[in-house]
Amino acid sequence: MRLAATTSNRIVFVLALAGAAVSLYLTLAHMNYLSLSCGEISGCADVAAHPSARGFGIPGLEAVPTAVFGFGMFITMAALSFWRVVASGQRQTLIAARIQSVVAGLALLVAAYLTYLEAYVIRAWCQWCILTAVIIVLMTLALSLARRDPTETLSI
Amino acid sequence: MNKGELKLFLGILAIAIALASVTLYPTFVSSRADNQTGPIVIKDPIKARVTRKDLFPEGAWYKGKKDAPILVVEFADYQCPMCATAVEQMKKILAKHPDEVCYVFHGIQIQATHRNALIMAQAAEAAGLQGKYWEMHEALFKKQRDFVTLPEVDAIDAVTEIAKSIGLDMMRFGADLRGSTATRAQERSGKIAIRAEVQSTPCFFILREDKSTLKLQSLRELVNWFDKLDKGQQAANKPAR
Repeated sequence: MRLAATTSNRIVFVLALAGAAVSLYLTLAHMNYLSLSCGEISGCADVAAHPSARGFGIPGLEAVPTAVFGFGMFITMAALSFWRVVASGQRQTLIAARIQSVVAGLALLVAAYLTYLEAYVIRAWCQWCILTAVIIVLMTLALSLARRDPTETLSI
Repeated sequence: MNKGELKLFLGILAIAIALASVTLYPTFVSSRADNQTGPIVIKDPIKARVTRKDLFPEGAWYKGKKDAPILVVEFADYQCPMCATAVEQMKKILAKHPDEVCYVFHGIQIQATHRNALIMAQAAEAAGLQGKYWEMHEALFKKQRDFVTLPEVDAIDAVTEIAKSIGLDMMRFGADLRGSTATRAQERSGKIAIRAEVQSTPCFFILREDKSTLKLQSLRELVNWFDKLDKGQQAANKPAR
């Protein structure tokens, strides 16, 4: 199954905005502006307490909640989708699409690592993190299923 | 540039911003309102179900000066991840307020799924009988993840290994682990937690010289409380111009 480039871009834009909203919620909760709603069966308090919830657990980055990086990534993806619409030429559109593919690929790797931590290290699940991971997977799928426009060429 | 597509994207963006505002704003407002209420303050000793003597009974493990103006009492579960985070935070607080804070710890089991929490709490009590309560306490929290899926029989082996690593007399530790002193001490902590209506861990009580008792139901509240205290002290120490 292939998607038209326009449809794929629309899907990515909507998913990126949804992901940005979830990441913003998690960021605000981390910064103590909101209380995190976890539900009864969820272990998001355990996940939030893990070092990886702050700066991916990398020493020196602890001051920045991991959700901030997610928020940045989703906003970048949404901005690139928007750029694909307002871009003046095919070349710019193609550059934006390629940057999106790289960002989505990196995001997928990070999401896979964080999900692995939840499953095997923290042994607790956070529904917000799972939702974010699902959005990233769907975004990557939408990008990879996009039909290449025959008029799009990139010559550098 | 496709104008129709641009209009669609701007529409989606406007809907997304509106939806985010509608969903996030009420949570933000209610959260602010909750924060304004702050920690639960128990001022009336008749209404308070627990007294200073209950929270800091004879023989309880503590750090700092016994008569320090601020008494911090923590109820924690050795299998609760946030309680492990609290260990380092409490160390920082004690280092910053060496003469002002006395810290008391009670090990309890908050969830049925934390099936090794009690044996871990008893292990700390048994280590305390050899004068190494806090060493065991820290070592247990450091090794917390090893206990997640362990059956109780293996948990005893695991605490024994930890006891060995901190240099305890193993014969005595083995006897004390299931002995009445450690068991009773742990049971007493559990009973105090029930009276104090501890529903989640870590749960902190702060008792001050004015006899007021504060119940802080998260580590974040404790950190915020001490931040406010520090800021208040800094402001008071600033010379007036």
